[in-house]
Amino acid sequence: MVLACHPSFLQVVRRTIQEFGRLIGFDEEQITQVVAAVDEACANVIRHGYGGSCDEPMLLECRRTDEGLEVRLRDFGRRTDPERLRPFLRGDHKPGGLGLVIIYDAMDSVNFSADSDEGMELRMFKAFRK
Amino acid sequence: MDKAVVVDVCGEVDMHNSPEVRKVLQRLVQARQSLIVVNLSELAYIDSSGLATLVECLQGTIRNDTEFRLVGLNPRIESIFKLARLEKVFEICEGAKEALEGGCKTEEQE
Repeated sequence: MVLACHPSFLQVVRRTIQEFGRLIGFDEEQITQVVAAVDEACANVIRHGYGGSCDEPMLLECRRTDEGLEVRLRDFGRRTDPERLRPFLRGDHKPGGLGLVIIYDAMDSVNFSADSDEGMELRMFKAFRK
Repeated sequence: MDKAVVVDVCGEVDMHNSPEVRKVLQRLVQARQSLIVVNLSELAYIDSSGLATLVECLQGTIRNDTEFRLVGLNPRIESIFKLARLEKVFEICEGAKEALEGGCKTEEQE
């Protein structure tokens, strides 16, 4: 789906991911985790991707594989060094930075890249329980 | 107990509406209540901005010597707190009555 970077659409994202998670067979805890990770990722794009503009697009793709769920989030705004997008260490409870902690704790793999000419791409993966 | 207040946070809290939640809670923190209880039993979702608001309030209440307790976390909200590594940061009670009567049971007391 392609969405404008407006905070009011986050609810739409959560509903969609929740239903997709149920459809592919995740349990409720896994659904909560994936919803939280995708919500935080989209919120990061809204907050940082386009310097505050709410009209620009973000592209969200979800794909079920034999192993689990792949999520790809793409924006076409500012680029950031992916090495800076790491969560803080456990125990360092600051109000900011919680979004990345949630993303990394919820998903089995997380990869930010700034390889394109503009914007960022985030790929995440959540495995089915064995 | 003097100046205890219970505030209900309902629905879903994300970056779209967390500034309003922050405004309300900060007003309570600045009013220097003896106890603030935040009831999350009707909360369906909270994101990092909502959690950051709670952390900020907790820090403010520590400075003001105000008690700050959360009540009514359902399993989904508990999961989110755990993802954010905040499950042991707050004093969390089952219900408002317990929170108002003097605190929550710890694992050692149960």
